[in-house]
Amino acid sequence: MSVFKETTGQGAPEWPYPVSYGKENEFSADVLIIGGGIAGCHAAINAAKRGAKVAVVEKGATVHSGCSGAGVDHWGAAYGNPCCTSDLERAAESSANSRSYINGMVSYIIMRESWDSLLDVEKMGMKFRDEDDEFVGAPFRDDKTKIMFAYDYTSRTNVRVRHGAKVKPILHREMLRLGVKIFDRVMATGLLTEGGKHGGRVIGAMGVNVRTGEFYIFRSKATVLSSAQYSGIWVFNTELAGSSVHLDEPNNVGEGSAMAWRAGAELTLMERSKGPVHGSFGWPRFGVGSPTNTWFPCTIVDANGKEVPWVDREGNILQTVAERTAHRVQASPTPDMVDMIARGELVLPLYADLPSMPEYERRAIWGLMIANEGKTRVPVYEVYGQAGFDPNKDMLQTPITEYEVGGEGLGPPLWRSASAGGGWGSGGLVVDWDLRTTLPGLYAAGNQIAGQNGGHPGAATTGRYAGRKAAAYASTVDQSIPDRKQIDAEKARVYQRIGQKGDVGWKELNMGVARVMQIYCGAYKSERMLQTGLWWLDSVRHSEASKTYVRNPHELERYLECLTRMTLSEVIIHASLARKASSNVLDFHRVDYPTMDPRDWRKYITLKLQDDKVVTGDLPLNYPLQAPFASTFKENYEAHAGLNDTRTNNR
Amino acid sequence: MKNEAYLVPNPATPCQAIRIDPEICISCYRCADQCRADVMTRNVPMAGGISKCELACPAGEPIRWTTYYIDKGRFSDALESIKTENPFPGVCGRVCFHPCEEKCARIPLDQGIGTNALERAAFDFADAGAVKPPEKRRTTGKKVAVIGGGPAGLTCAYYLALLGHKVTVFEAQPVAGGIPRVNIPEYRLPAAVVDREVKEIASLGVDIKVNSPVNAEAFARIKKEYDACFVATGAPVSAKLGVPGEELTGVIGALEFLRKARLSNSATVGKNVVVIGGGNVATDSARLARRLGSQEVTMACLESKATMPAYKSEVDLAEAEGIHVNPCWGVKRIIGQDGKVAGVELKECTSVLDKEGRFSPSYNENVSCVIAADTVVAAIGQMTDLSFADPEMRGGPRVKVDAETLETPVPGVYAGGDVGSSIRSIVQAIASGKRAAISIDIFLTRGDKGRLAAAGIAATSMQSYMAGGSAAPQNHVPEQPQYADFGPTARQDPTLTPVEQRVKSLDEVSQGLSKEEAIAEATRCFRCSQYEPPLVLYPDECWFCGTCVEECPAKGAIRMEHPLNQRVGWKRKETGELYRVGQKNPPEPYTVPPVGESAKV
Repeated sequence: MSVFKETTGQGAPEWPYPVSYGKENEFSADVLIIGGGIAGCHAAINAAKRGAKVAVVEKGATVHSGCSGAGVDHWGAAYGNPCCTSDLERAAESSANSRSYINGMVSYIIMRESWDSLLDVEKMGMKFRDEDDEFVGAPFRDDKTKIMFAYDYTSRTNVRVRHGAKVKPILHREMLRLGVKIFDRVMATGLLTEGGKHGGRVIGAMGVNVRTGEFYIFRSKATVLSSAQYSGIWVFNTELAGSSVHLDEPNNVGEGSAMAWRAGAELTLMERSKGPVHGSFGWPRFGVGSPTNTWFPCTIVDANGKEVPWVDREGNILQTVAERTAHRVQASPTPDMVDMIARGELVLPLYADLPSMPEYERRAIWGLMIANEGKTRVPVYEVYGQAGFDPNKDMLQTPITEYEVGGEGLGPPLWRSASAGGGWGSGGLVVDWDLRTTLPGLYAAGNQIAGQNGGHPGAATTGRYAGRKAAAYASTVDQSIPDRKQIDAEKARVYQRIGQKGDVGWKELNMGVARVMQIYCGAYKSERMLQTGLWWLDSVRHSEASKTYVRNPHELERYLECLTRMTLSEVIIHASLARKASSNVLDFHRVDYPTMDPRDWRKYITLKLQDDKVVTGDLPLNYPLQAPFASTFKENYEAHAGLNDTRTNNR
Repeated sequence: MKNEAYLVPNPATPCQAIRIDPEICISCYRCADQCRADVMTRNVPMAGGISKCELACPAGEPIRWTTYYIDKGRFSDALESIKTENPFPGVCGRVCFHPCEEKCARIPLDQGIGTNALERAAFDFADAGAVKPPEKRRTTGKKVAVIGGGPAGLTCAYYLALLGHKVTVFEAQPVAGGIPRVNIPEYRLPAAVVDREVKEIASLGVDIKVNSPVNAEAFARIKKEYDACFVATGAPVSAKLGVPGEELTGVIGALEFLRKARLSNSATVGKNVVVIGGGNVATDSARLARRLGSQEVTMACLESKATMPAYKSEVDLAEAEGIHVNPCWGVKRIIGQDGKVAGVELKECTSVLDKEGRFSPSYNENVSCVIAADTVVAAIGQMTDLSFADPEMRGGPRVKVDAETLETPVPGVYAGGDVGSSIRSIVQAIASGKRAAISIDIFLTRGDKGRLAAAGIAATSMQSYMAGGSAAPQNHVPEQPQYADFGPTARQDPTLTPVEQRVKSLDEVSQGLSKEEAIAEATRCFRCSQYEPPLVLYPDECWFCGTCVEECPAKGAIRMEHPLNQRVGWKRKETGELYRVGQKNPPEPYTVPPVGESAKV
């Protein structure tokens, strides 16, 4: 076996793939999908079904890539399902009102199409219903349709997904069946615009193969960006992987947002870069990623067997397990849990008390949810199962750290807001009712969209939708010739460190950038600190980033990701500078502008690059319901969704 | 506490990532190809790698080349490739017990490869005229006698001829081929298949003398006239039951029974046939009896159903044909009437092997039964006939041989196959014939004995030896499939004649695979172990998504380890028993004294 030698820039590990930096590969498509996760796969499938020639560019391996790559256990917002007792229109309106910065238009699309997208995947082979009648009699099961529900057993909007572990291979197989051309191990690095012009129509993209180092030029009539949210901006620490962070997928670095930014697209909400506000913290974490809801509504006990109280959203204690799943209670373990520990009222360690749960809940949580949720299937279900864990007898310990809310959580409050840069209602691209960005020819789906909060169905539905719209648009334009200068400039940027000596590893570079953000763009921001942060990032760009060594295409990939994080860090700082007010809702704190959510700042602040300068603007929070759009979600959806628009081949 | 709380640590604090077990890993690189973080990558070709199936084949067949060629529809090339190590793919493809299949690395994924059926397909679909034996190397002028024209003897003859020696085979029966030709019934192995392969051996210039048994006198002459000799006389004599009534008319040894059917179509059966024995010869006899017209065929054997030596598939097929299988019975006596068999009295057998595993059956004489019978076939064992052999060659029922060189105590005399071995199978006989050919060639050319010693007592490689190297198999294998089919894909199984048709004739029960089915089956082969296990380059980038563990077809090859989990918690032994590792019992949880009490401490 070869021996791996790591020294500063000398003694490269053997790289087993043939390397050809700079070699160009060209490909033409009607619709180009950047990012092969859930959103990208649904986009590709729906574009292909409308007769478009589709190419997918994916940094990893599409068959198992992305946040849902290892599996999905529940499918929310499924308002269309026959057992749902909640009213979609009312739910859409109330959600738009209560979480003001969440994009109501996107939430509406999700609610309209979530059930349909689940049915799509069922047809492709993911049998999510209780076909084997394992849960007959359970309160979360509808005997007629065999659908099983999660969380709220009355409103029935969230579906438990049996066989969800195979969602990605199933989508992958469908794409192959439809003739979609998949480019795995190719990382998109830059958009192609008409005439090479900044702010121009998007006519394709460029990328690099992370195994061979070869360059790829994709020409397309329409492009869908679905490379999810960004991450690792404030905290770079591979040790934290597996500590149940919201770092759902290490490849989610933000290439799409950075590429779009450099091409001149408008972004928003970049100042809100944190995880979700669950409303309670101290959720026991039993695995990597975010398996919190996966364990719902499991009883938690302390070392003496004393139960941790569950409460509804008003703080009333819920006595029974059944009450936790009642209509609209939004149950959670008491937010007081950490203080109870501090006072000695709860004694560590805490355990998930599966043996005490009703038998069907126990079987559902362990055998259905944990076994299908990607982040728990192997690390918890398989590993512990093989070690002899028996959910009927054994209790699984959970670590408790204070700062667990949506964050990497381990460490001082300075980077409590750290973690994921985006997703969950945070920064991304501004889109209209076609899910088109501010650049013609460029669409966005999934967590790429600013203010999107839909998890798996969010990705599936917006992917479906954007795929349709992109295919429709592609049939109205011709292929364009990319600008040679734009290609050469990107190649120069991508390969700048190849063959160059250096003594900084990419991990050091990443840590350095994170340190800048921790200090200068932390939980409490100010003009001076933010401007200093920009100065530092610029300085790092010219020094350490120009001395980083890249020994093989994998390290090239990671280096380019560092550059992406630097770009996005700059955008986040600019967005933070632009918002001259604090916000409770956004968890955004300016010590120099301490007023919380003043009326005139309740809006989206948009940013884009223009003539090398950052230009800010704003959008009202309900811009999807204002001119030039209609005044209700329903009208707009029906006008724009394009469901009846059947193009050439029906596949 | 309602339930005992076990201290099962949480995977949220791992400090290790991926471990690969090189013993189990087949280097299909599915993990590397699906890993999102390049934690592991493909690696370099492995020198000396051998797949588990090839390791299990006593004859050292190049199985991965077979699947490679058939994958591409090149049946003739597949056949030619097999014949470099085994001149009887037609025979083996129909009746080998395929130890290779049980070791297939694909089994945990969906089903193992149907290697046996593929070997048959190579024979069935190759263009017989296009398959050329390897070029003869030279003519040595040496003469070798092979005594016994069965699989062992003929394999030895084939390779010796290719090595340039002049070979003469002495076969006692009117036709060469041994057990496959003389005993195994037509519906399992058509005579034409065996005859074709024997003819190909003869076409190399091997002189096969049939109807030529060798007694002591002939053996003495052979030792003088030939430069070396290979004894492969097999075990052609049916063992006697040793019970009263054995001399009655209607009692016949199984080997004679099968031979009469095979050679002269003169075997007869009555209405009630009882076959004594639990091995393949017994099932062959029973199924043949059904085809010869008997409606009531019963097998009785000492062993239990689970430990009967016959292939389970043969027992199942026998039962499907209406044969009654009675395990755990021994024979007390054969009942006669007017000098003819009228029945068999059986007694219960309570155990077959003694504590040391030797054959030593015990009975319960109080439990017995009588079965009506007009024919009794004794299929309780095959015996050698060593009357021709020199006394120093005899080691009990077998010829004494050196396990590595197959040389007997008489210089220049070698032995193999059933006569020299307690392990009896066709493929084992072929393997010994090939080993003997190498050994004899070294002897005749005063070659380097180390070339054979290098292979130990495992399968030899004639290809490697002929190329001038040692007889140890080398790992020169075709390319691995770039994107293997990871299924789940069902295995293609051969079509069988419908049950009602089977006993009506001696036609083959199995039709084998069609060409398309064979190609589809061959594409399922991963062609394991040509490369080193994946290179784990960036373990600290592992994200614990478990995709590699989930998708690995060779279960256990890749693990996600959490040392905290390993050190404290529950583990299971292979027996299923649960045991604690690390801390014996969880420590008593501390209790915080109630408010006001702490001052007292």
